[in-house]
Amino acid sequence: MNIQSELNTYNRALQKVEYDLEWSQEQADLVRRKLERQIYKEKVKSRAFKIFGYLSTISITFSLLFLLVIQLGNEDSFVSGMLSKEEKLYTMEVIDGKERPVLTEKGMEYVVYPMDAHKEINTISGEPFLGVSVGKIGSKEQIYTQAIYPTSEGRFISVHYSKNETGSVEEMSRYFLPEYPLYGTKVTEINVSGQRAFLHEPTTEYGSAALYIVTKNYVYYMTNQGLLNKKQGDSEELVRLANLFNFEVER
Amino acid sequence: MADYREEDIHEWYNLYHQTIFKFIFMLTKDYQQAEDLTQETFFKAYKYHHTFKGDSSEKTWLFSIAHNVTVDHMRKQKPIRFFKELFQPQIDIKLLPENVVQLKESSKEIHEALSALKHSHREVIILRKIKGFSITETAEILNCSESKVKSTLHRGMLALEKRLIKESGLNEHTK
Repeated sequence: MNIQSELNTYNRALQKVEYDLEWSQEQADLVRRKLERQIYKEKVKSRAFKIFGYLSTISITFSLLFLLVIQLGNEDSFVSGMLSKEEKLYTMEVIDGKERPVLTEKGMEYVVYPMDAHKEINTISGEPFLGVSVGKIGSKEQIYTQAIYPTSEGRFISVHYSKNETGSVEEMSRYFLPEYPLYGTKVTEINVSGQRAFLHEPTTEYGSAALYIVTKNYVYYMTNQGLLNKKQGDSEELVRLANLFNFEVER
Repeated sequence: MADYREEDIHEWYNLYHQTIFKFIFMLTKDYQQAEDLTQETFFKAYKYHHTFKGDSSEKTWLFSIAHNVTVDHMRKQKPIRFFKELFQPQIDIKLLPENVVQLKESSKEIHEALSALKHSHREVIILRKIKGFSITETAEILNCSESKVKSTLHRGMLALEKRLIKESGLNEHTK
C-alpha cells in the first residue's frame, strides 16, 4: 500500500469516528435542561443588577438633591437661621422682658455691615445697633438684620434690606432708575463695592438722601433718620459707609 | 419570556450539541467533563452572544468557544490530571458507560490511537479530518495561523500513522 492510499484509509477511518461516536440523547437533554436553568439564573441575576443599578442611581440622585437643598439653604443668606446646632445663626434671648433673636458668632460672620465704620467715618460715633428679625419664606426661615449707626449729631443712619425677589440685578435696578424723572429727586447710578447702587438725592429743601444697593440676592436701603438738617446727613456719608460693606459674605 | 439570544442558543443546541460534545470528549477523554464543558460552551455563547458578529458561521464560533473552555479547563486541571494519569495512565474505552457514550467497535482502534497523541496534534486532526473544517476555519477556531494548522496537521498525521502501525503490530504480535 502506498503512502497516499494509506492516508486515504486513515482519513476515512477518522471521518467514520464522528458517526461511530454517539452521546446519549437522554444525557444531552439533561444537559440542555441544566443549561436552561443556568441561563434563567443569569437572566434573573442580570435583572437584579439592572434594578440595583436603577435603585443606586435613584438613591444617588436623591442624596445629591438632598445635599443640594441643604446647600441652597445655606446659600440663602440668612435663610435657614436654624440649620443645625453647629450652624445656628441666631439664638432667642429675652431682652427687655421680650424674647428676641440675637445673632450668634456664626450669624455675625454673614453680616454685610461693618462694625467698625466709626473708625473710618468721623460722623459715625460708634458700633451699629443690630436689630434682628426672623421671617418665614415657605418653610424656610429668613433672617433680616437692620443696622442703625449712631452719629455724633444725634441722628442715625439706618440700613436694612429685603430679598431681591427677581433674582436679577438688572431687573430690580429698573425700580430705582426710573425712565421718567422723579419730582424733587435726583437719581444717580453709582458703583458701591462692585455693586450697582442708586443714589436718590432731594432737589428741594425737604427730604433726605437715600442710597439703594442692588445685589442678586438683596436690595439694601440706606437712609438718615432723625435728621435735623439735611446738610448734616449728606449723600457722601452714605456712599462712604456703603463702600465699607462686605458683600462677599452675603449668602 | 425567551429573548432572541435564548432562542438562538436553543436552536444551536439542537443543531450542534452532538458534534460539540464529541469534540470536547475527544480532547478531554472524560465524558463527565465533556458534558459540563458542553453546557459551559453554550452558556458562554448565550452570555457573549453580542460579540458574535456573524463574520464566521455560528458553528465555527461555537467550536472556538468549546476549544477555549476546554483548554482553560485542562490548564486548571493540569496538576490533578498529572496524578490521575500517573495512577491510571490509559483510559480504557471499554469503561465508558454505554448509556452515556457509545463508540462502535470499528472506530475504537483509531479513537484510542488518537487519544494517545499529544493535545496539539489531536485537536487539529479532529477539526480537520473528523469535523471537516477548512484550514481557515480550523485556524480561526484554534486562534492560530493557517501555516501552523498545516504543519501541525502534517506532524499529527505522521504521529497517528506511527501509532496505528505500532498498535497493529502489537495486535499482530498478540494474535
